[in-house]
Amino acid sequence: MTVDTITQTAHYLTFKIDEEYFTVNVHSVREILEYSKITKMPDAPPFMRGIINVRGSVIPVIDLRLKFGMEETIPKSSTRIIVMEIAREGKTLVIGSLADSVKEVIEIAPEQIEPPPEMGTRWKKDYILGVGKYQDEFIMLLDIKKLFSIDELTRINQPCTDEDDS
Amino acid sequence: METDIYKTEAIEILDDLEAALLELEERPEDMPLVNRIFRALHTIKGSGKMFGFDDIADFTHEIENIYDRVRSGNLAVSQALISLTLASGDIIRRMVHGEEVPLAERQAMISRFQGMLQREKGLADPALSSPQPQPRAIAQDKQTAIWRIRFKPGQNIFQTGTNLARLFAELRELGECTVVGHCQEVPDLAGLDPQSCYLSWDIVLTTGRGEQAIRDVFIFVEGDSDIEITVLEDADSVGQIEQHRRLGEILVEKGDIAQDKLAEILAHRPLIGQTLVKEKLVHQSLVKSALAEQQHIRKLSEKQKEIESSDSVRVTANKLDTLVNLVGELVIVQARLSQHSTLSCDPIAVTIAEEVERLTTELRDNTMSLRMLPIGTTFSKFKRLVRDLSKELGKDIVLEMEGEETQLDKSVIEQLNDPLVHIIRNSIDHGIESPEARLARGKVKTGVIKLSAAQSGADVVISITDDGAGLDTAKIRAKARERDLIADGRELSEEEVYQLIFEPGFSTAEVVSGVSGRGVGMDVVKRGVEALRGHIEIASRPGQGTQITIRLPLTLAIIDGLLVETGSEKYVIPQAAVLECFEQTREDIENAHGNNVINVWGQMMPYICLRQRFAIAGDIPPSRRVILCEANGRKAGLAVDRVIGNYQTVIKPLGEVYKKVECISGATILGDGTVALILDPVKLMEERQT
Amino acid sequence: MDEQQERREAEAYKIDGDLTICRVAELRERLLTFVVTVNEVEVDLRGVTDCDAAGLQLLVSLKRTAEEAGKQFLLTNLPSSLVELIRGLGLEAACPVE
Repeated sequence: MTVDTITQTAHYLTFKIDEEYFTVNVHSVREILEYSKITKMPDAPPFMRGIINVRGSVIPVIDLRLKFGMEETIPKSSTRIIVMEIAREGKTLVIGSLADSVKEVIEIAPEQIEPPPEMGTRWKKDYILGVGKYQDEFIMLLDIKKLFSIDELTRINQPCTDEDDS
Repeated sequence: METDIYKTEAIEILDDLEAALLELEERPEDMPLVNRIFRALHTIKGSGKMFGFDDIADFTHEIENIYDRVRSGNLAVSQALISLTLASGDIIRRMVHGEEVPLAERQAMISRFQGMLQREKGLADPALSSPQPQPRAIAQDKQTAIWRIRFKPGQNIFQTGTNLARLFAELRELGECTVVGHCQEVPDLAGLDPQSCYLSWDIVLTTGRGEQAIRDVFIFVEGDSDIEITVLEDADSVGQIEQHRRLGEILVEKGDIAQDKLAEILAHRPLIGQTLVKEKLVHQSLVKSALAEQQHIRKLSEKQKEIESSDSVRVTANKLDTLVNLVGELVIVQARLSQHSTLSCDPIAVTIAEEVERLTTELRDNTMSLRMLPIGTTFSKFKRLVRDLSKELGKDIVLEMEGEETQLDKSVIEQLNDPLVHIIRNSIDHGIESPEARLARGKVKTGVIKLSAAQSGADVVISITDDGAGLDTAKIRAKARERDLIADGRELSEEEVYQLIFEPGFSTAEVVSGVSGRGVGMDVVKRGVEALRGHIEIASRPGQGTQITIRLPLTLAIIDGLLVETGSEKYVIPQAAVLECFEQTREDIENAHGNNVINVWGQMMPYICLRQRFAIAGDIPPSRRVILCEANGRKAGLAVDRVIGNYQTVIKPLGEVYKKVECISGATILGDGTVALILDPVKLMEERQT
Repeated sequence: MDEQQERREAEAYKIDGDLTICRVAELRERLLTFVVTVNEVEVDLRGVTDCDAAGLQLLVSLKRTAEEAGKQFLLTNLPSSLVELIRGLGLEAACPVE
């Protein structure tokens, strides 16, 4: 998927990690939860923070700060867990993602989205679909299919140091 | 759906029939058994007729007649009779599964019964012997019937001078007849051998003249051609054709109309039959015959609905699963309620919570019991396996069973079937020696395989024991060296050698027999058992036999565990693995000089420190607990900060993301809504060893 | 329109005499060349005196060849005996009768 595949104006949920704005299509968002205790999972990469209970189901939680080579998320009152659904090979992967704060849902037209810049971004370009603008701030459109690919998530005992090319 | 119910019931009866037959073999004088067999056959016949499976009914009827003679004392029970009946049961089973068992095969089976009768009695039996059994003996139906004839002539039919048009004209003389030619096989001109025939036909014929009359028409082309004649009311056709098939679907299935053409017509549909004829896509009479087929099926399904309302209710496994899940949720909510009511110190709330707890427990047990089945249903299948295989291999083996009444979750029983078949096959093939070899070793001629099941706590223990040659450790060692399964120069204990047979691709069979040793090894068995959260152990003594023990949790949904805590993380250890609990002080740890061992009644026992293993931050408390666990024949401790208590919990799967985390078998939700991980002691101990 | 009609007439392949097993090999050769030289495959069957299943199969194969090449396929002037045979063998779908 590239930025070219976005052809329609859509609604996007924006959230903040550190000082950067990110966004995902609201279609992928199932719900937004307050932070609750995450049960740590052994033998998993550190950015896979563990599991939480969402109304009787167990779902994994990813810490995008760690994934992107920043400090671990320290829960604050604004910290949220964004529960997303990613369809894959007939199955739906449900995964929670930590965000320092959730902003709002905005409408973005395809022409407002630029391809990700080749240089000058701290984030690994691979996970960014494109860059948009929100209140004079740049916002990164996350490629959740890539970000939450099973290969990325299931690596055992491999800290993500090789990802930390910030 | 209704056909499914018939099928399920028929298969159950067939299973019972088989079990009864095998018992009869042991006690040929047992009249109640003969009656049971007769009743089973009678029921299969009766319901077969009722559901329109005439072929099954007719065939079963013949066998039933024979047992009527046994019942009335006119025929003695013999090995031959039981073998034939078992084989007939297989034929019925295939028919129930919707397979088209050729008429000839069914007739051959009946003839074998007749042959046996003649030998037994020294004279032909008037009821059964028609000197040359007519092909119609079984599917006899002189009433008007609709036949479907598939005719694929041999390639050289044109050259033989056969006049196909005349052949079809003869068929038309038998009754209303529709001929549909199929040209899909005809290649383009470049690929065409113009003198070879690529055509085939489907013919729907309504006639009262019977199958033989139809066959007579084809008499001159029979040799090279494929001719398939079926009655449309025939059990097999109904098995294939699902209920309420739409007319168009029937036509498509028969190849009378192409799928895309049909879709096109359906797009602007009045009545499909009319449209098809109007568009000249299907011949009028063909639509008629398809309509007849459709109507017939409708009639069948009405009959079946009447039968459905019996006193037991069949529920789909799906609905049951949903119920189990809901009860699981309820158990969690109830745990929260209990916790909160205790904290609230409100006596009324406490009483209510206790009441809810009692009801929940009862509801949970009842729900779980819905899924429980006695394992005996699976066990009796193995009787047949042992009987047939040992005959094939010229061995003399009896199967003894124990604890057939032990109950297990239905899905566990189903998934257990393949591993058990494999283990028993191994025992028959490699374990039990030939009668000569046994005698030479001073053993009794007949080998014994014992299958036993028993409940032990929250586990069910199934063991398969044979009194055969035992595992040949020398051979296993050699094989393992050959396959680089043992590191050079490493000496293995007997125990470790036995474990080698669970390695992928390991098979010591010197000769690849049809029975086992085809590369599917015990590793598959092990994986199958582990998928059920079970464990497998093996013990063997040279010359005396082998015992394989499988431990399985009673159910896959709920687990009895010990809730423990380390740092701020909570874990559940399956109760089945827990032996004892010991206190360990800082002093004790210091005295061990950095070794993870604890003194248990004077014996040094290794332990796994969860804090270390799971990299949990924080200091070890001044006093902590070591839980001594035993799993898969190994003992080791698990050091935790503290023990919270017993906990019965609903297992939640971890999902795809964490499927590679082996030491955790699942998760559970605690009363406060947080998640605790369920440890897999076996995996934890295994990784400590390697 | 008339002009087109004429061209079609001109391009139609005429089969005269037997359309039977004895001649199918020969007819196949000729139809093979015919089918590549025209844009519309039309066969005039007015002159067919006798036909059998092998002959019909040849027409089916011709139809397939035409369709695979994306060309129109048409049988014209079928004698009633031929129509009867097509019906008798249940090949109406494969030999469009016009």
